[in-house]
Amino acid sequence: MTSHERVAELLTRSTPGFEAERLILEATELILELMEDENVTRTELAERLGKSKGHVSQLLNGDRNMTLRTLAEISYALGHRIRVNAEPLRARRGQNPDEESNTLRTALDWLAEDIGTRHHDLTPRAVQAIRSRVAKGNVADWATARQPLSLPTHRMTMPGFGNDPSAKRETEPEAYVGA
Amino acid sequence: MQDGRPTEKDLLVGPGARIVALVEGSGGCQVAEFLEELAHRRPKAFEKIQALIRRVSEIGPQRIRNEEKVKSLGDGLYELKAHQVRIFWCYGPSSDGQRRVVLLYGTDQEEEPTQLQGHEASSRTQASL
Repeated sequence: MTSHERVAELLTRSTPGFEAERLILEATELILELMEDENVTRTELAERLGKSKGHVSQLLNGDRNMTLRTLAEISYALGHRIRVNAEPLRARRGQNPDEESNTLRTALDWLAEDIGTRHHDLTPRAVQAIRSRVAKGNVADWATARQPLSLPTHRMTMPGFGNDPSAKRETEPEAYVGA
Repeated sequence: MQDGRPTEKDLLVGPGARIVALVEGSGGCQVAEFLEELAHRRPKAFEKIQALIRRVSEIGPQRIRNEEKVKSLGDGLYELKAHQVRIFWCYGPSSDGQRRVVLLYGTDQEEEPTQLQGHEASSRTQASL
């Protein structure tokens, strides 16, 4: 086995240390995304938290350990609430759950981009619909996960979510994004 | 590879980018050897850069918001930075529409106080692509 083959294996390996670093990276990137969305600079965030800019920079660069309490305080300062969820590390039905979740995340990101919103503003029902679609497909089909999402209008629907004439509805079809 | 021209080897393929390692004409792959050694010598440092590389493969380098972690150095050369570890990289040609991130050279500031050597080596390698 050559060096690059060994590294390819190392990069896909999951360890407790890697999972910790991944979580830190995801959390700090999420905060930066919220700051961008809310047009808040590091200096302003530091002021809202009553901390120094250097302290905030260390948190955002992952150089300083961030407690759950700090994470909640930061998100509160940015007008948001953090939610926590978990997903299995072990593969299901021959799939690599990492790849499956990446596929889902990418499909959701694209959907959000297509309709000019953000991933976390999608309705739970839309997220579940995409999750089901991704779960049924092969992980290599991530590119096709986007295809049926390239719909023309903002308030679009999906089969089974309003386009399905057999479905009984009392209200308007649910959009991907909450009103 | 044996004709003296650099080639690339897949390291990680994700929905956001295909991560490849540059293999020099001599057959050597500095970045792979660097990462492998780092994983054994400083596993915590490896896990930090592993998380960043995985994230880049998942969402693409252009969507990493922390500019300290994915930085443009000019002339098409970029760096991934996780604490003291830097990986120099550039975009590679893509035939399938997927972004190709070509890892060129890795340095560890704990071992090498100056990044100049890595930057210069990466620029030379990038120019030969």
